[in-house]
Amino acid sequence: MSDSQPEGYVGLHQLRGLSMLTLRANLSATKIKSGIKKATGLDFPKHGMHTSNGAKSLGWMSPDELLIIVDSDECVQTIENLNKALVGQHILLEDMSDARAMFRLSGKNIREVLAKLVPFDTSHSGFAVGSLVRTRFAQVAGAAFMTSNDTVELMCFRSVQDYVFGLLQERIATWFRGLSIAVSLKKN
Amino acid sequence: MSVRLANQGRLIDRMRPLSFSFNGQKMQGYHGDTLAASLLANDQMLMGRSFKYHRPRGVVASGAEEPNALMNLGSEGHFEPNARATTTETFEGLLATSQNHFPSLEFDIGAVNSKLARFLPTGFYYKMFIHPRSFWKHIYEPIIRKSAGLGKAPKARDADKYEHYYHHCEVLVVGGGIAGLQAAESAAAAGVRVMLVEQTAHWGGRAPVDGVIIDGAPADEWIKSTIAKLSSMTNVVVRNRTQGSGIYDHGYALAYERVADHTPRDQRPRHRLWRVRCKQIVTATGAIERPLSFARNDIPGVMLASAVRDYLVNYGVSAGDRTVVVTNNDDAYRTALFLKSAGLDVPAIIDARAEGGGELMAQAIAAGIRVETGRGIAKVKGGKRVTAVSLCAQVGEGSEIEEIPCDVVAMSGGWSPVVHLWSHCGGKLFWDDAKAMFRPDVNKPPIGSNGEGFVIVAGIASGHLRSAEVIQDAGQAGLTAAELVGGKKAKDTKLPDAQDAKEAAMEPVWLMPHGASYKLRSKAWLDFQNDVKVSDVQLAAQEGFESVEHAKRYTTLGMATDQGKLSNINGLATLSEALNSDIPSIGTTTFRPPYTPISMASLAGEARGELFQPVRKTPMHNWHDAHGADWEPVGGWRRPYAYIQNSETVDQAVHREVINTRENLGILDASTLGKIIVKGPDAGKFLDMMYTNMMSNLKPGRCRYGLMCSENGFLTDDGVVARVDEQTWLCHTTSGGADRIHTHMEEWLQTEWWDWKVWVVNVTEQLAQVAVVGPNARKVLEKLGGMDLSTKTLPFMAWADGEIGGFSCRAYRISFSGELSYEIAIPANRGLDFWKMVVEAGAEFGINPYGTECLHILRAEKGFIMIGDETDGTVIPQDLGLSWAVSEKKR
Repeated sequence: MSDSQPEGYVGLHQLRGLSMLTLRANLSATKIKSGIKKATGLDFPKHGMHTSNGAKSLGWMSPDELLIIVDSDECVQTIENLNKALVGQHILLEDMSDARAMFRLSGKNIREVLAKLVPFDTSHSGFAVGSLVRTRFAQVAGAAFMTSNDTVELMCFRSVQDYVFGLLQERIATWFRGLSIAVSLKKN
Repeated sequence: MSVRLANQGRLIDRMRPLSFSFNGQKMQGYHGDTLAASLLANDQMLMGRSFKYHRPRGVVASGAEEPNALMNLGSEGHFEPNARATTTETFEGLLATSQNHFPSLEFDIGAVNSKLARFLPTGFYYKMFIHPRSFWKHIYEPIIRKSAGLGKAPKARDADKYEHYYHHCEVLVVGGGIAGLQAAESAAAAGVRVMLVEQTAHWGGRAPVDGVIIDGAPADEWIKSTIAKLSSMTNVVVRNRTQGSGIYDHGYALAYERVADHTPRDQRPRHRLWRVRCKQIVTATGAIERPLSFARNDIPGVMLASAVRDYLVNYGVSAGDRTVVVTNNDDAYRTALFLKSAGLDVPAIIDARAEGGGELMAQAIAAGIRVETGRGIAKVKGGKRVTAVSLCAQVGEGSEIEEIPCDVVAMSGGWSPVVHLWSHCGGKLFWDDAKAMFRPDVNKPPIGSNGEGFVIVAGIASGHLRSAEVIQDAGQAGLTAAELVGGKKAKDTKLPDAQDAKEAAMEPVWLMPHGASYKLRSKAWLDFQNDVKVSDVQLAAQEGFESVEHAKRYTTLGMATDQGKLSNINGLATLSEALNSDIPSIGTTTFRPPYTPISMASLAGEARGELFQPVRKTPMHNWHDAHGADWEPVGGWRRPYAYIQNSETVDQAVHREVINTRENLGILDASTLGKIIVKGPDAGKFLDMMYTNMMSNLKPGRCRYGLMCSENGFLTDDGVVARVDEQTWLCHTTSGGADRIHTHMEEWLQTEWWDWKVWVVNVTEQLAQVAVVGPNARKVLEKLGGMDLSTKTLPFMAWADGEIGGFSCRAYRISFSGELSYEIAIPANRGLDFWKMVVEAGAEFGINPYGTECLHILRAEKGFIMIGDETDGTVIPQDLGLSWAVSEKKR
């Protein structure tokens, strides 16, 4: 198997230009849910899932924590919309854009690459498109968003981004089931 | 002589010869060989030296149970000690050397121990090395340490890569013999996710070697079609060269895949550790043949009957021209029959049973083989190679009747089911008197979290020795496992029909001959690797070591790298006879994972070198590195201890930094400080509970130093708290305390005050924090401009949001040095730019970065405490003169 075999490739890219907002609130309250829906225009995600319209997404982090991801230039507006829609509610909204790093893995073999890093079930049944799992990547905490059948986005703390990048590089660059999985790297 | 035969060898490819080296000598083998097979084919029967007496040892088995043929493999970064030749696949260029001898395998000085054996009985070490007391530390231990151990420890860094793989399925089947294959097929038919693992490179286990017929054809055909079918199913993962190594609670299992041991340097990871989560585990782990205990049964050339058969059928290797078979069961007759039909000589089958065997014995007699029933071996003749055996009556004390010249002794003491995996998580065993074996008690399986068993044993591992029973039992095990995990009922449940020869009952033989003299018993080996003999176990019993666990440790029986796979049952039986007790009341020693030793590197996985431990880096980390940082680990972070300039020492750097900060201007990366936002109508009330002093009455825009105590009243953290607005506070914690204090707060909010309206978010990583410290601190910040930092607008212990040099920031007028000091928080992604700007602007004011040691000196000189330095978990605030920070008002 040669490295040029395209179906063996897994791409690894660091994502930039995203803003992340952490919202602590009682997510089972109807007023909160409808307020979020109104402010973001997105469906409220179910337990263990995320919803997205491409540019924007909502991630279910826990019964009282929601992650809102938007393009950086929409950050201020989104905060404003949320504060407006949730006025009078007991919430805590924080801009956490700089606290985290995001990576995207792409290719047909991403589930197998992922299985070398995370303890959860990465199969189609265990990690369907739309899933969001808070987990660990080897020794550090992280979260994984299955965004399509051949892309997964991984989030970790910014302080350990070099570690996670190194980890992904090493795990992608090994073989599995006779397939040479080569890496196409992009870290900007 | 052991040689390669012209034909036979179902696992080797004679079109693919290869060369390898053993003790520096070049040898030839074939693709498909194990190293043991290759060595035998080159007449290398002598493969190692024993641990204690350095006796010459040959290969005795053909699989994972091998105690003798341990090798050093490879060199430098690819070196590995204690590898079993029987489980090592031979490849082109393989380098092997034998172990535990000096100067050479053929001539070993340590063998003098064997001559001294009378003076080195069991317990010798305990009795000898206790007096005089001081000798242990200075004389005995250094000498013993030097001579102990089998293989050499690797010296070079491991050049290979290793990985973990987390796998989830409903049913894990361990063992790829016919039982495992059938169990996997039956479970897979129910539509559940199945993983099937086999430790060797080949499927089918012993069945093809033993001539089992399945559905009217040799077993090989059924095995091939079954594995092909399983491999094509999307709900099945099959892995050969993968050992089910351990079973743990909650359906967790470890499987150890030797991905590239046989193809080194091909870029693949060498080993892969499968961390399997499943709901049911089927252990189809087969059985291991037992040796017989007769005098000098450790002479090279004495082998298990099944191993002699394996080398012949699988690798086309004859262990010798003339093989005497000695047995207490029918199975060993197969070896004689295969040898005979290969044209090799079988001078005699010595059957300890007075009546002999059944169908297979009749076949042997018909083939013209001499069968001696009711006989045993009195003694094996020969030194580094068997030359003859002497015949005796099994019931007697070993008077020699006749000497039979031979090159190989093929022994069989019956079979022991491999119950290890069943037992790892508490599965119970029972002693089957008729079959003379410990069998899994299927009514007492390992219990899972739901109170039900989660391990099912199948086939020979369960004590079913006949192939037809094996298939039935395994099919049922697969179906049951699938049913328990919610599989659908399969329509076609017809199982294949398996046939093998009918066998007469075996008869337990724990010592040969039964009344063997002390002289014979003291040469009858139980544990080959650790040199434990029948007489040693008897001595242990005599000296009062009645518990099997005590006897094991006193004699070292079963404590070698093979963990007693061959010696266990014979040792228990010997102990029970010595104690006039029965085997079940003696019990077994504890079976613990892993089944065989697995590489430490596979357990470490990726965690080595750069990835050994994650290092948390602040936004300015690389700048520090480029400016001479001498690093110190702090709470998972690396912080500069000091910045080394030119040729100064660390100590000189620290003193320069202290003086410069006191006299001019210092800059410190304080980003690692914990920062936790606490918000809500009840936040003030909550923080009053968290801190020893009041936080609820802090004014927005102001800061207050606070102490935190554990529920025992001991200091656990400290830091400056800032009130952001009516409902919001920001709590600074120590660098190492951020996650801990965040958890502490969440715990109280979730379990005790769940009805309080408070939200907490840890924003430590969102913000970079830069401390600008020293007499010139205000000057440099005012030079950059953007906000009013005068004492009037921003007095001590106040904070304000604003802009400095174009950066939006929050400035705190706080000090941990006693100097004029500001801490500036900026979004982390802008931290480095801000830092560089301040350093550049500060040049004219003598700015210098300082590290943690300077910070410690500055704060200590002013009497400020540091959690972890002045506290150790037993210190209360009053111990440190901090009564002022313990509020009396909250009582």
